Amino acid sequence: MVILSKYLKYLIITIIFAVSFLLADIAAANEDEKKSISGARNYVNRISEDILRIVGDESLSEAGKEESLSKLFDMHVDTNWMGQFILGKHNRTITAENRAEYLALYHEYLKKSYIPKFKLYSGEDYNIIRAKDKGKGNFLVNVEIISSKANAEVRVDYRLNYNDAKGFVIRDIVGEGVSLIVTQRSDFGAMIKKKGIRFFIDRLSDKVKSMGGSTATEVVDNKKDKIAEVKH
Amino acid sequence: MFVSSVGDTLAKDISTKVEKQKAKEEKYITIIPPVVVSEDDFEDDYGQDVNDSDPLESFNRVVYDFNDVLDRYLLSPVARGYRNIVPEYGRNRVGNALHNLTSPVSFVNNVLQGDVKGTATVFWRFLINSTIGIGGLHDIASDFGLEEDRADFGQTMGVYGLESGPYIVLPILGPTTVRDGLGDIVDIIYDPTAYANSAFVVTHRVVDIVDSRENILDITDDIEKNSFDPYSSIRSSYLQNRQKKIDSAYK
Repeated sequence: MVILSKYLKYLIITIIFAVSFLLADIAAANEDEKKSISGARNYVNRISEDILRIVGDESLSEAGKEESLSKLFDMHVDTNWMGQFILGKHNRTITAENRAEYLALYHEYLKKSYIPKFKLYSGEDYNIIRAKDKGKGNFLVNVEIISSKANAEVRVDYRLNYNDAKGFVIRDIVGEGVSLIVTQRSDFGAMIKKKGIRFFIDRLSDKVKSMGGSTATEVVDNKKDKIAEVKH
Repeated sequence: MFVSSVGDTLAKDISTKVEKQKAKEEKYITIIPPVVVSEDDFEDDYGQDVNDSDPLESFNRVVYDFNDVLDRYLLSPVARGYRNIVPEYGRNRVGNALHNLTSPVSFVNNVLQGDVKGTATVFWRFLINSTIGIGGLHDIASDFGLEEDRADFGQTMGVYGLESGPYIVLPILGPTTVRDGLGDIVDIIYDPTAYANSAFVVTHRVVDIVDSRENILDITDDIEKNSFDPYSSIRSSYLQNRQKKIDSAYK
């Protein structure tokens, strides 16, 4: 436990911040956020500012903040890619039906796991240290979180991907060297290896329900409703 | 006749409901077929299942379960009590003082790693925080840009190319590797607190364990709530973090 504490010490702060940086309105991506190192920097900077503004908006209730952040999460986080990366070798053998259900549930799982953590947020600041072009449209942005609450600085890396249709999207967050998706690959993979993919998807569904999230079917229904609203 | 008719109606009703539910469950498949990601798209810094090597897993899981029970009924309640009783300001002072006491170990390992900047940083941090910072209670050095960067002998061995060896979970102490476990033993040699009188050693150790556990209460609660296999999550996190420390030291 003592050794464990050495590396997990600041992870909770990392997660709170990491998620906060995940969420901002990409729809308004501007000219400063082109496919370049400076574009990646500007993107992280903009969403950081947006999140600080939303979380600090006293006119919004906690539920209102969560709802706004949830919508932004839907637009920003590339859970389709993340979910398949996490499956690893199982992504080769999973059926199309199971994959679709899993990805819908994973999106809800990630959202429900992290959005509520905003309630813990208060009074932190950040510095963007550097950004790197990793090739194939991938960028890495290193950010230092300064937490007065925990009396510490925490290093968080954002892995972004750029595509012409969406602009930048977020594919991973790495806190103190610990990658969200690599950790989840081990976590999910252990159960899939023991019990099989179908069993895992059922447990994922149970967990999402226990978090108050939507089932895979409901996710689709919601999307259908939104599409219908737009058409009307 | 009547019973048969009711039975048929019920059977038909159930059958219809099942069909409807089945159709509903399959809807999402046709409406939002996900973009299938090929493995080429994963080619970057991530290795395939890089952290899944665990030859001692059977043994480790037994020890993990033992530690979990110990934590659930002893360590975690004590840490929560500490959090409830001692205000955040006080806990931060305790944490600072404990960190300050690890400076000699970090100093020696920075020297062994040939890290001149790291060595100087640890030296000045210890000097400033022990004096102006009142015995390390206040981390004044950070205000001067001298951020804490702890080093240990496991990391030093990693810097010189020694592989981690198998992942291992130790009773009470928790996750480590063969390399890092040996490193912790070596670090005791040049840790001055290990040579103090026994009352100090025991007190220091107990406070350190409680403070360390309190620091990670939120994250362990999070793992327990959200993880499907906490053992695997902790193993992966530990190995990634250690690798990061070694990679950072190289730079």
